[in-house]
Amino acid sequence: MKNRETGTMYNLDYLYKISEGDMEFIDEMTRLFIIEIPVKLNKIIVLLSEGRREMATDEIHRIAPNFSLFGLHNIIAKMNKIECSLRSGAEETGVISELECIRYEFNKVAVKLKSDCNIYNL
Amino acid sequence: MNILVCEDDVLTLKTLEYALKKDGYSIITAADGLRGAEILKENKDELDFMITDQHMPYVSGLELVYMARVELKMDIPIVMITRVGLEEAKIRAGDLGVDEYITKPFNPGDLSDVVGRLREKHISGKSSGTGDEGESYTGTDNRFS
Repeated sequence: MKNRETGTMYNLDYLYKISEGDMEFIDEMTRLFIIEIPVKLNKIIVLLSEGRREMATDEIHRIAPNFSLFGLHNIIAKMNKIECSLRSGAEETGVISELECIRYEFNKVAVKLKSDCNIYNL
Repeated sequence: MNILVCEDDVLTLKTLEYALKKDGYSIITAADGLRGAEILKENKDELDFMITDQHMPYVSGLELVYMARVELKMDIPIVMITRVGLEEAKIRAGDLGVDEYITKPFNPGDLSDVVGRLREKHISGKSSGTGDEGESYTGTDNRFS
């Protein structure tokens, strides 16, 4: 990982702060983030499409703080909104569309992270 | 000091593990509540501290706290990890004997402070004989204020 300057897409300030700049840790966390988040987002979408909204809501609740680690506050706000709307009875189809948008947004971040952090083997 | 950390979210678990190891603690991790329950039973006498997520599949953080406090009669500091806005859960956690809670994503400094403070409090309570031994956790104190 050469460059901390990442534009407005994400920031690694939290990870730098917690590790005092330990690049091995930041690299490991970045790899985990890139691997784990798509799996979790897909799982939520599948759960919703199967009508298992309670499990999906729990997963959303669980996944949201992960975005904070990379400064993705915009995505956290969207996830929190989706969680609230699910708890108040929103239709699954609308929520799935919103999650697909988040997945698209995340994928763009993942591409940038891979590029900035020189991660080529994922 | 041996700390059991139960957290099913791998990124949060890694972060907790890293931060606590950096502070010099010995960490045992459990990736879900079920494994956490096994470790509690198997290592009851070796554990000095527990940090657990609240929301976990199979066995929740609250169930782990119940097991530690009521079934295993463990007198160790317990910190619960949660997200903001779960006041009801915090009250229940306090009733069961959770000493403090931290919210995700936690501030590294806050984690160090909480663990260090509870550890000191626990040690001084034991050495003076006026600490938490035999305390019934009624949730009526100010631990969550």
